[in-house]
Amino acid sequence: MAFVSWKSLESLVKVHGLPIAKTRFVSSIGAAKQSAKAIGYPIVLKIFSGKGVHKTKMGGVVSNIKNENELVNAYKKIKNNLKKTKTKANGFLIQEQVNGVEILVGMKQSNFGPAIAFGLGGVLVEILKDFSLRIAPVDKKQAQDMIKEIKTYEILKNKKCDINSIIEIITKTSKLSMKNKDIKEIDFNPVIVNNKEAKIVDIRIMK
Amino acid sequence: MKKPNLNPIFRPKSIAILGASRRPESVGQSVLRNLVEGCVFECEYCRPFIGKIYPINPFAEEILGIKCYKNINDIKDSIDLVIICVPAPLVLGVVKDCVKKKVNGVIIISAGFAETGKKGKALQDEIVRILRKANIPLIGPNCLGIIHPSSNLNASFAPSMPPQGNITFISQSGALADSVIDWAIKERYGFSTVVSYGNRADLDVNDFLEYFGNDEETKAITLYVESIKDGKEFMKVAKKVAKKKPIIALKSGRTQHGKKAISSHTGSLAGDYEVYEAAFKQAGVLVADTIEELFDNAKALANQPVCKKNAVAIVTNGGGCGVLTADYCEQLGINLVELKKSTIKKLDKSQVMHSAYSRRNPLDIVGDALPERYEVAVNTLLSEPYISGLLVIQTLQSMTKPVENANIVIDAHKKYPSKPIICVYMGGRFSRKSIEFLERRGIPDYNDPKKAALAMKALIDRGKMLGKNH
Repeated sequence: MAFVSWKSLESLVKVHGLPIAKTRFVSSIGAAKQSAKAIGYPIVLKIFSGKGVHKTKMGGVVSNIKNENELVNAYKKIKNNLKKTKTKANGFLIQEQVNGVEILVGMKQSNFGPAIAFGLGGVLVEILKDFSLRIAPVDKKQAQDMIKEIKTYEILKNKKCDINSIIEIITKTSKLSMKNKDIKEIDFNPVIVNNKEAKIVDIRIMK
Repeated sequence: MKKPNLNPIFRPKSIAILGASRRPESVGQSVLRNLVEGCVFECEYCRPFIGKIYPINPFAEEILGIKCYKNINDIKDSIDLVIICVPAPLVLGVVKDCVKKKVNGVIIISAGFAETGKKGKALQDEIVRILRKANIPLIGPNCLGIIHPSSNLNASFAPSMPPQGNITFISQSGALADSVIDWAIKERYGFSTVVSYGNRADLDVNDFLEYFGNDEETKAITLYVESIKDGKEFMKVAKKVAKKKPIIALKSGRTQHGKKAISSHTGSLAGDYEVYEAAFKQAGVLVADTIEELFDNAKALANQPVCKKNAVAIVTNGGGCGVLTADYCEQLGINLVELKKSTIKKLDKSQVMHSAYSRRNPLDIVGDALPERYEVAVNTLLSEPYISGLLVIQTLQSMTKPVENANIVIDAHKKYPSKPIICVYMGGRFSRKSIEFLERRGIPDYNDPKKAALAMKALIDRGKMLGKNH
């Protein structure tokens, strides 16, 4: 199974109308500064790797960067961490800062067809294993059921997360999976949801 | 090509055994004995096959007193079903003989095919190709066989024959089916058909679901699966059949062998079992956690109406048991209704209730309850439109009359046939007769309140599922 470039990940996902946080791929501090200006602070700086790398664990993510100075420091810090942990990265991503609750939407191919997953995301998902599954095609009603089913649904309610935008991501992920049978697994983790919108902040696609 | 008719397999008028043997502990003799005597391990449920039996063995004149033939094509009469027990290398040859004979169905019990590797798979594929070309359906290879009590059919090498009933068991494991049969004999648990499908080279779980979906005798279908080949077709067929009759499945293989070094979060979360569970639920197939749960719940699903609303009441003559049952109900999300004042009034008016009766749900009619109290309690609650299902608990006290209490439940069910009743007649020796009465009339009984709660939950879930489809 091969991993793909950020650009091709982004375009595949955008074609199906899935909302991604504004992101640019860069491989130098100069390009980073430019992209940060274009997107607008605050931004997030993180490594981009073609292989499965746990970015947070090895110190490859710095969020809430408010200006160019902080960006330069963050860049140096991450480069150091890469050296220290002997991690290889293809480059960096400059991304708009999105605040909210982290959720996961994903897909895994099975002999029943694509299985669409939803759960509370980020690091929580692997600890709690609180998720719901449906075999595609998944419609709006089923997506809504998936969201309400998880044990930690109350967290989404309490933080007044926009459920409709989550429903849309689930149904569109279902459509994407049905149209691309060669894709074996998809992770949109995290997707960040607040009371206005939901935006995909990290994409992993395995073919 | 039109799909072959499976009736000659499950309701054969004539059977040939290819590989019938004179050796007492061979599969070839067990299969013959199961047909001729009904079982190898004798029991009261054994039924000898009453159609024509043709053992085929080129080296014997007769086996177990029945004339042997050298080749299937030496037989003049037509043959419905063939059971093949010869070693794997000989199977292809005898299959060709069967095609020449134009038989109507084949079961290959012999092992040594796809389960052994590439060579075995190639051999298996060739056998399937030949039989499919001739439109002859095949069960197996590498299976236990089939048992259909109402056709007096034990076409397997199972140790014995289970009681006749209304539940069909379709199993991917023959060994499991064997043990279930022995258990069923002890528990007086009836089956309409038991199918062990082995390597499913031709007929697979989807075909059996379809067939038993249309089978009058089958009121509930139980499945044991390890893996399903055509998942999409399974969901399609299961959805269709589940509308007609309840299906409940037990799947094995929860642990992930060989976790991939690189895997997405979704990949490591959504394991094999979780995906099957999601597919089952979406297709309207209920899921059981254990073998016991599979058959406990099937018993209720096959014999009781669904619970139309999640609104249940408990009648008990033992407070503690009532509380336990209520605990389990709550854990499972079963809604125990609050008894209305009008209901309590009716109970009071009967003048048979104990002054200290609970006046709430669970309705504790107190330990010294005689049949008349059960009669009033059970019938009053069932008559209430806001109660959709009833759990009746009986603990055995010195004045308890279990048989009469059983008859009360049976009569009440006749009066209110659209509401499920599940009994917990707790005890052992002295409750046995009453439990037999109940079960003979299709009232499921469990010795443990948790099992009763799980069964009621299954009836509620199915009620919800059917309610949605209308």
